Amino acid sequence: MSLGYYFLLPVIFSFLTPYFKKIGLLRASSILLNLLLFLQTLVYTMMSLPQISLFSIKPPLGIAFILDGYSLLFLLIFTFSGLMVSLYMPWFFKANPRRDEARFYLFFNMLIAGSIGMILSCDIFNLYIFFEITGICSYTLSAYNKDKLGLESGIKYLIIGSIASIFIVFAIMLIYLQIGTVNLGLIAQRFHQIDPKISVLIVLMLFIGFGTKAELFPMNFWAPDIYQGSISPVNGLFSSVVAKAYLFVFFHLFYLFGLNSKYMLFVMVIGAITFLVSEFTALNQTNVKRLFAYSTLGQLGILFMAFSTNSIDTVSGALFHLTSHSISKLLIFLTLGILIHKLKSMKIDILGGFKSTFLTIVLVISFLSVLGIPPFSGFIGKILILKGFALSHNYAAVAFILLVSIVEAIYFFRIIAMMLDKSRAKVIVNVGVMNYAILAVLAALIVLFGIYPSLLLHYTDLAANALLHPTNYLTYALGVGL
Amino acid sequence: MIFQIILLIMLAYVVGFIYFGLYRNITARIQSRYGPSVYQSFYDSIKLFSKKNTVNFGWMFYLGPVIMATGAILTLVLIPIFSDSDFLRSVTSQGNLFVLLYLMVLGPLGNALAVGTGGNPFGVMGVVRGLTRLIGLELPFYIAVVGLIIAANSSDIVHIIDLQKTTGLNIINHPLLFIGAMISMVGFFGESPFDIPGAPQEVYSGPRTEFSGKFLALLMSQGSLFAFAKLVLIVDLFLGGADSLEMLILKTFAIFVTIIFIGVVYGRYKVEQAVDFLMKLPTLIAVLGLARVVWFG
Amino acid sequence: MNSIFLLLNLLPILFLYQFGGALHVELNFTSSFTLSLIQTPLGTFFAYLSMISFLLVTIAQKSKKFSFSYYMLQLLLSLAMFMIVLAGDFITFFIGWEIMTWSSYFIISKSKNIDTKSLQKYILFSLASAFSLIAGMVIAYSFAHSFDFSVISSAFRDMPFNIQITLIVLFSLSFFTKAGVIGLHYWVVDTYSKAPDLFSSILSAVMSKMGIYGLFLIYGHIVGYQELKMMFGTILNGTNFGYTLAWIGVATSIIATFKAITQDEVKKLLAYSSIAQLGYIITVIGFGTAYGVAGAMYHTLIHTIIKLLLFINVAAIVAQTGKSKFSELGGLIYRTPVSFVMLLIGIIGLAGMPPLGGFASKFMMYNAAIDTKFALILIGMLFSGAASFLYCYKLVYGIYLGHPTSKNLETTKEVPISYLIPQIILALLLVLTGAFPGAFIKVINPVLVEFSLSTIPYSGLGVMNSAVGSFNGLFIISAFVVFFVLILLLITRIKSKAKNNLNRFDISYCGEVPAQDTSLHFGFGFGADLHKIKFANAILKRSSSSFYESLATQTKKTSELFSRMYYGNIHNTMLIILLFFSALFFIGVN
Repeated sequence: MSLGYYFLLPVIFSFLTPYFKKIGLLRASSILLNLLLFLQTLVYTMMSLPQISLFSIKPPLGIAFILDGYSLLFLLIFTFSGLMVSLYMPWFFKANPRRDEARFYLFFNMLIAGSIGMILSCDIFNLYIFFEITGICSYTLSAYNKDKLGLESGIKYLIIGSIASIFIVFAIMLIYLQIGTVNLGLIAQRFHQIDPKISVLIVLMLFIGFGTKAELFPMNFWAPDIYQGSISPVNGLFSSVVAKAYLFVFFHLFYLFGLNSKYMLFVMVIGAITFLVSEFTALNQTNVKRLFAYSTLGQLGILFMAFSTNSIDTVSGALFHLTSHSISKLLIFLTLGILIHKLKSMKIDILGGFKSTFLTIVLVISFLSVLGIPPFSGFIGKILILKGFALSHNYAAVAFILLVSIVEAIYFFRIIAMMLDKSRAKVIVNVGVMNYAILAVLAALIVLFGIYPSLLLHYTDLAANALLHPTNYLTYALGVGL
Repeated sequence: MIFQIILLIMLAYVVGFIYFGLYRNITARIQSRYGPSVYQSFYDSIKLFSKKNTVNFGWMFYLGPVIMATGAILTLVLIPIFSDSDFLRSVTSQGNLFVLLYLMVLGPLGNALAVGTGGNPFGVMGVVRGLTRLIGLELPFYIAVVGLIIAANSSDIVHIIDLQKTTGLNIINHPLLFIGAMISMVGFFGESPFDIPGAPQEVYSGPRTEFSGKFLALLMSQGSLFAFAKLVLIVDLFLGGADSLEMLILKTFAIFVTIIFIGVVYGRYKVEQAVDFLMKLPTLIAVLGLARVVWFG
Repeated sequence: MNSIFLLLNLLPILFLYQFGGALHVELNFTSSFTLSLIQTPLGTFFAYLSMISFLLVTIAQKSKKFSFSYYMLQLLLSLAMFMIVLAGDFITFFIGWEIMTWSSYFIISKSKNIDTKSLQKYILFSLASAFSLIAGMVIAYSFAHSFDFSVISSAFRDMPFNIQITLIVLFSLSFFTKAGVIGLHYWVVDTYSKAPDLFSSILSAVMSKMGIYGLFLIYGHIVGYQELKMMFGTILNGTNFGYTLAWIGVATSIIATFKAITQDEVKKLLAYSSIAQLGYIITVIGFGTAYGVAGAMYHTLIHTIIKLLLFINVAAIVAQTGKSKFSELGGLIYRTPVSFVMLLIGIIGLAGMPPLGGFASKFMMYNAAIDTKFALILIGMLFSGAASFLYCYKLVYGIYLGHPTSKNLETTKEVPISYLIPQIILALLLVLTGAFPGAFIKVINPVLVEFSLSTIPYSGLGVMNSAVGSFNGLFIISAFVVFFVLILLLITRIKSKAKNNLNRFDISYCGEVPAQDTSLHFGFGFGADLHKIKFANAILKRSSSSFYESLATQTKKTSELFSRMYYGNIHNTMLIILLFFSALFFIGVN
């Protein structure tokens, strides 16, 4: 068993996609593939970390995949999201028949592979390659709807993605020029030797590159358009996989390069502004997809604030929050897919126009979780983050998060009130058995992590430790003792 | 004890009605009239009690006046009548000044219920005016009572009476509180300028419009019992109580005449004028008295 | 289904009874949080109070059909409150608090009369309260390194003064919002009046008490009354802190009382009255004396009983007649006599008149104020008490007395028995609390010991002792009954030939005979005079709504401003990214 399968299996599958004659077989094997990846990840949770897989030559010269506690948590989230989306897709395509279904599977599996590659690769050049693979898949997936909105979003994503790539390529180039290596371990060791002015430039370029992709203010003006133009399961993937992958890389480099002391406040402020602006903007939305896009941006803002704190407890809380947010947003976007199909509209009114007790309950659970209300998983993350800020006597951040959360509550509860309003005309929505199962599993996870947080906290603590004290990671990345 | 209670009620009944007769007489003389006999109200009440009442508005119409009378009698028995005497002391020690303050409102409540049952809108109008007036009327009286309680550090009336033997009468010690309480008392006796609830000339004699026969008799008798109780309360609080029947009559009569004289001189306030007035000068006077007690007492 | 949930509601009571005061459960929630349930005298009091209230309301619910989800949510709500009052640490407390918030939200949303705006008001204020609580929690944690009440309590003394103040303010704000202190009461009236009729009783009688419990917890347990005294210094015989709080409470009760009088909707009147009564509790809760705490606790008990009684009564009338306004009701006394008597007992308690429990609690509070020499506070309480007679009378007159305002009121039948059973139980409780106020001293004393205050002397079940006087509730109630019966015999037995032969139009009406359509009900006339009184008008014309409305408008405008940035022009986005980069670069390099 090797970490390489995470990349190889989806890629091989993607290349084989056009040769599937029967679409049913394609769907089934895609589910099987994602199940396989998820199971493999579950196996890894039982093994000692970090794990390394070499490709012929050992690092620092060769290419390697390293799995430490930090990437394990993300791996779990990504493979799980992939599994859920691939289980959801058969219904989606039955509801919205498409002739180029194979195209979706091709890019979908590549997207998962790219994202996983980004979090596993231990040299910055490969990281860039996976970054581009993920990017290209996202552009095509966002343009999957070949209507005006879809194409617009594809083009926009392509342009913005290219700009981000340019910044990152320049950053990598500068690093290579200064240090002469692309191995993350070596860069981490020698980063402080770089001339401060150049180092500022590198950091800024990385920040702009990954910040743009991770949808930080003021580089996120494109993001809501992308969400609006693409299909719902892809929204779910963007929100719970792609954005989180960029966030992963951003903070991985942030802590590896030892930037935490110098740029902590800066990242925190940017995160806070993102949170503030997004939540206020979300208040004014009439399109469901845009609304939840802004909500995602806002949550990313909180995560950026919390990740930059340099304290294990807070980062662990942030990771918890990230996980529960991924689950909630996946649930929300998959449900939106059902509603948009049944009610043939993307207006916010559709949330008040359906009649299904099950969907109402799961949506309410996910909303409450995003808002951080107990006994759902969002609460644990939020209280840990707030506790962490308070412990570092950053009471302004505590007050800020809580105040903006009230703004967030305004629109979430407006939707809930809409769903509960009996005076609205309601369309009965039948959820298929499969969707029933998927949404029930997601909702159950939200509740489970809320009432039995130790289950997840074990992994987030592990991840936070690995992120803040990457000594183990470094020894592996440098190839010492292999 | 039961004998004493009966004695007390009879005493209050007789004295109350005689006072009421005197009130009618004095008012008449001031207005250059002759006016009825002093015992006229007494006769009226006996006559009304002996009448059959043939009509009523249902059982609540009975209960209202009964609650009212109960409130009056309960107030009466809980006020110490004589200082330095064991007369009903075992009963009065069961209550205190706060109990009395609230018992005094029980009567109006019973009245209001019966009036409401009667269904006469004018009656209810009178009740509402009465309750609205109460907002302002209670204020100076409450302040005075609170001042006295704080000064004596006790809400026990007997204790307040006893204290006046050593420190001097409260009317001299706390004149401002006395003035406040007296202004309220004018209203409690339904005298001008605070007699808007009854307002005989305007709203068809107010709350009592629908009552006749025994109901009216009961209302009249409880009124005189209650009037006596209020006078005794003022005497106890400000004039050091009375140790004999003569002193009791003398002191209560003095208070009573004062109230009548005030009432005869003034015209009637509208309800909002009454409350506005009461919340200004009388309240200010009483608050000054209170401040003296709290900060310098 | 009703009986099943009745049994389920019994379980917590039995559970609590089983442990008999020694409940102590701990559960490792996460590595850093422990959930714990600890039974304190104070918590036990509130637990029994809320559990029994739920039981009584469930009995009343038999008369109407409620869905399974309604019952489930209500059960969840009761368990959440159980969790709150028995919590031994802030995490447990907060989890209970939030479950209470959302479960009640979903119950309220099931009402027929509810609209989105009221729901939003309710949830946003609840969340603001919760967030203020959570802020206090984490700040306390940052010094105590634990969420445990006792640990925070012992660490509190060593915190810097400004942190101490911040904590007290944050916690107070949170619980004030729940209790509906004036200014933070914006949600209360709408929510109480638009919630399902029977659920309003829970909201007013039980849920607002969670705010009071929180205040007790903070002032008595976590900060401690002695510590408050040391922190803020003393004035007269009380503390500066208590004095400030008392003014907040008095202002609340006076303003709410005047607002209550002018309401036309029955449940709105009750809602304002609820705010006013809680104002009394808040007035005395900060005194820091034994009598202050005792008065607050007794009034908590009495207010719970009264508000359950009144709201159930009104719910029954609304269900029976379909009318919910004073101007649409009236004249029901002989149609629904038992309901009338129950409401009468309720308002006698609410007005605080002697034979019933309402007086005993007011007596305690007044004596507490005398004890600390807070004379003006006491005057304020007496003043709002005097004004409250007006709304008490409006309540009984507007619904039961006077004349029916429409045809169907003349044929209304007595409300179903399941509405009456809890009312009768509550009325009996009100009589008992009035007759045996001394019994409550036994409940209060353990709490006073818990707060390390002096205890109240106990001298018999009927006697309520206080610093400046005592009264015998049993004597007064028996004397009342004896005199009442005697006078009743006098008036009915002597020469009585009374017949009920008057119809409602046989009244003195200025020499005229009122016609069928003459407006004879005075329901609308209440409070009209109040607008002419300068002081009352000054209160009535002001409202906190304009402040909150403008806050909402500002939020909306900000939102519009921000969303103008996201208009989707890709060129500008690129430009902004480049400009942002250059700006950062110049700042960074220099």
